[in-house]
Amino acid sequence: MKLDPRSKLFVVVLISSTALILTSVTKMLLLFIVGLFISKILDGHFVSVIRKLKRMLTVIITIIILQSVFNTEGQVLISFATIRLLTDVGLTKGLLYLFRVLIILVSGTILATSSETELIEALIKLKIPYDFAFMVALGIRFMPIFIEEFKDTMVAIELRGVNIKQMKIKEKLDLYGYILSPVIIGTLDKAKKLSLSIEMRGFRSKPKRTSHLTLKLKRNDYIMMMVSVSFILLLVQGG
Amino acid sequence: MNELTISDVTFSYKKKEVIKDLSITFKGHKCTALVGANGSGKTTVGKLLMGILSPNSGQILHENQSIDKMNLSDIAGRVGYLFQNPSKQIFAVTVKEDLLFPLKLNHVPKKIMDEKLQYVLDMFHLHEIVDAQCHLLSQGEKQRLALATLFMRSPEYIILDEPTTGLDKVRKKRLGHLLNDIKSKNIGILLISHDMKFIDEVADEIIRMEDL
Repeated sequence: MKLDPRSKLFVVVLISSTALILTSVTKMLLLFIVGLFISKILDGHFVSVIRKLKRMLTVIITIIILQSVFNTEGQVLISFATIRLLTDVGLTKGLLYLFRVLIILVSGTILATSSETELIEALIKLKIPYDFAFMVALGIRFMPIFIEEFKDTMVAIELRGVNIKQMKIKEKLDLYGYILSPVIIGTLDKAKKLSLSIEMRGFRSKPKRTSHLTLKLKRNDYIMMMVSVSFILLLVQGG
Repeated sequence: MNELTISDVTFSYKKKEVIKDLSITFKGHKCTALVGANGSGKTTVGKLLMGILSPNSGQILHENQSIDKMNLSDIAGRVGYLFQNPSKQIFAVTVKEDLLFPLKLNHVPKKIMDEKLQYVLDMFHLHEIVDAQCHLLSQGEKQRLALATLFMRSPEYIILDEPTTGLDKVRKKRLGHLLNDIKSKNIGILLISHDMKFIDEVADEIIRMEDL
């Protein structure tokens, strides 16, 4: 299905804001499933979200344990001596955190089904100044490049004989100082070259910018927005 | 190290197949040049040999031992890898600090650190810039520093990816001398490049990607 980028933005803002206010795990799961469904019908790469879930498991388990240990509320499910290792409140809070992150990731896959130009045009139609819209699109576009650079830096540091997995926390902190400097310097250098390059190509040379893209909301867009709003209202109001 | 072997390796970047059923052995104690057109997979071969990339099928062997289960840090102890852009492997503020920080993190005794530092400073003629800030170095100096960092770990083989990029004639010549010195220490070199003039000066053997 093809949708106008504005309706995608609308749906994404709707589901991610709802994820922030929901406090029920079941509702959050429903919201996540709906997000996945929307991503699927728009041909989004939602499989990557499931892959990321594996990497997040340690963080989630840590959050659940911390919530259980330091939160005095809730029924104890697992304990060790007098330490509450797992409570129902801790479990709920950990799962809520997990679903919030997953919903944000799914929202990203929904937005990624539109091209950078379409997103800029959609933001302009929503009365966002072109400069800001361009910066947002640029940020989205450069994110994978930065991730790639960070991965390269990690590889390069391992090639220098540093085995990160075997290091203690203090050593890891020292190491991140070394890792961050080439990443930051590289980023600043890229930003400098990019700003020069866009100036050379006549950025803001004319007060009004034209575009070959014409965005028009169609029947499917209205249906998607109405169905999403109805679903969210039902979800929020349903107890 | 006597040999690095690629055995029946196929590799693709997402859906684009770059290398198909490739088998080749790079012998040690000499300088082998791997040449080919842009996009022919030269750099990919280097990264596969280092374990930076994992093949879709087939095996990479160092001295007949699969590197599949080895970590990067251990592989790099025996096989050094120089990136096309040397800035990628420079991390610290000063040259001295950059050479020493991995050893510090690995708790190497100070005496050994000093000996190693002296050895690479002599070998790569870095005494003059030992306290210089890395980001202020010229391309040639960065190249020498990046190469020197490999020798803080006593490699038996080194893989150099386009080492002449951004170097002028004089600096290329200096690099050539340096590689000949390295070769004389019985360290194998795999030179990934398309700079034929430079290759003619330093390589003992030339392998073309097109012929593989």
